[in-house]
Amino acid sequence: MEGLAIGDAAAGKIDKVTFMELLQQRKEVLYRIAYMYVKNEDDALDIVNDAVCRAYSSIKKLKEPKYFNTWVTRILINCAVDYVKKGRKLLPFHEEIINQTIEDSCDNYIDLYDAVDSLRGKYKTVIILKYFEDLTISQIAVIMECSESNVKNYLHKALCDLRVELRESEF
Amino acid sequence: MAYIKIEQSKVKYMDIKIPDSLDRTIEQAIKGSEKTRKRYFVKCASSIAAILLIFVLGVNVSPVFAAYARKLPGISQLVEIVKFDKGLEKAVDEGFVQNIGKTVEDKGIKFTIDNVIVDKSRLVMTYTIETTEDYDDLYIGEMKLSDSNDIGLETGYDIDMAPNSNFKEKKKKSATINVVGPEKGFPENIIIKCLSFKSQKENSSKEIKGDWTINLKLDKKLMDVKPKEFVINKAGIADNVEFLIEKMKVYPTNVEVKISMDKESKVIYLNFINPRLEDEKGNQYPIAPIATPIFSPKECILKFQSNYFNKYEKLFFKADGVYFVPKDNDELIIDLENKKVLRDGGFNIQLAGEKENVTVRDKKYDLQLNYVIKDEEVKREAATRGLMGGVWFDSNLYDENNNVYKYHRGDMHSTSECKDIEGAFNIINMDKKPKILIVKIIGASKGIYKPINVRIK
Repeated sequence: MEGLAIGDAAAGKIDKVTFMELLQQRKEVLYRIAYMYVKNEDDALDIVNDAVCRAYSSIKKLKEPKYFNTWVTRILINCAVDYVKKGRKLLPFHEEIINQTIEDSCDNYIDLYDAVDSLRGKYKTVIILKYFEDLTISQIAVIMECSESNVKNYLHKALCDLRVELRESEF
Repeated sequence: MAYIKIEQSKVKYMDIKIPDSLDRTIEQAIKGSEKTRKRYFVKCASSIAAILLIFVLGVNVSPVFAAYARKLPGISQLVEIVKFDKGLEKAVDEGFVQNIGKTVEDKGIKFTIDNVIVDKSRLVMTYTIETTEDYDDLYIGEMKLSDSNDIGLETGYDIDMAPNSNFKEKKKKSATINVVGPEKGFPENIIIKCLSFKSQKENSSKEIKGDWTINLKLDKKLMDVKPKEFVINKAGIADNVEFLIEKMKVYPTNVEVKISMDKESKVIYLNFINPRLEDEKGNQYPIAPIATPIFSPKECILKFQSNYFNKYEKLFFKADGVYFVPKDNDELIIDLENKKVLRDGGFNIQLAGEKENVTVRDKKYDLQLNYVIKDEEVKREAATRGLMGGVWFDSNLYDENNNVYKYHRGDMHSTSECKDIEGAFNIINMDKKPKILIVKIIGASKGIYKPINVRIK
């Protein structure tokens, strides 16, 4: 039985069944994050595929199941960044388009969902995790494996790049 | 300075459609990293226009050619590659093979179609990939098959990724691509378009996009070979389950056996356990390693490895038993109001909590319904035979008003016998919460475990 072999190898830490269970709970989040990097279904699925492959083959490195979400999100982000970096699917979104977006919107609101396409690497990651996944600075720091002040810097820089000011909505 | 309204952007984010194929992608990714024979099944789609290069290398299906074919360089290697299917091995031996030897190169990767073995019902291509780059391993990524008008073949195919071919040292590997024959048979001209390869290096994989297009002209002589057809009409029985073996078509590449069930039968969705053909000398012909059979309630077509070139007097259909679903109890009905399972086909399916979610957008309703399958027999069979799910459901869910919902399946299979099989139906974007959910059960790993032996010739 395939599952047992993995369980044994990982000294009972996390077996295939647990992995599947945890992944099931997390899969939609992973897909959405992947989608934000490439904005199309095929590439997003490719990224998820790469990430699951990588996660599953390095399952031994995961010490405890409670860190699963952080760990698998980190792997997915790395895969997504790699995927985009290889120049396979660069989104055709540049500053002009951002300006356009800003000008077009008469009430001077821009849509972060589209605007995030103009960001690269860490800046994009930090925006997705903060504003779409609603993670805290410290959670983002753990996922991105950097200090909290770095996260804050990235966030600040990203927002500067977008030349926007964030107005969190008052309900 | 512009402003951002976060909640609007977030609605868009939450609205990102989760494709139905996500579960399959995950399943494949896991299988891909754990299986020794890395294979996957893809639906063909139409492909981009390409210039058609026609070339023919005729192969006569004659003993003279057969003798010649064995001397051809590469044929002994070909025999090695198709060893997983004894029928194919024999076909190659009999010279039932068309030599192609066409290579294309892009991004430092050479892709070759070496030979094809083809008839109306199946196409097996042997391919070689070669590179000078320093990869640990290299797989075909995305591939499309189409006819000369760029219309995708209405069929499925299956690529043997040959992960254990010691690619790291040899920088080269050969394996097969298996294509199931479309109903009309294959067109004469086929375009094989590889759009990407996946390379593996020190645990990280990367995709290499490019264009590797090969045009094949299949030999009409091979495709026109008529199958040997037999009308059998013999009944088989396992306890109270009766079935009728209707007919058999023997092609050079595989044997199709059509089995149907009586209208009066109390069971549907028959699945044979370890089905095989056996001749009087004890030669066995197991299921051919091609795409999985499609579920149909009353009949099934099993594809076996071919015995076209073998001589035999008698032929038997054998199996270790059958899995089935009871006919009058083939639905899973869930009462959502009282959180109860009303009917479960006798597979002891229980609810394991639900997660409701009314999303902000237009008051749409999402539901994640978890279930567990507790039937000991289903669990044991699923675990011993490595079957995903143990109970298979139709892709449509219905509510009390017959509205249809598509769901994302959250099947998880348990690998140890004692653990329950867990799964989930994830339905999104419903207008309101249904009172009752109904889904058809189209298969389950539970049945009769008695040897079946029917003489069919």
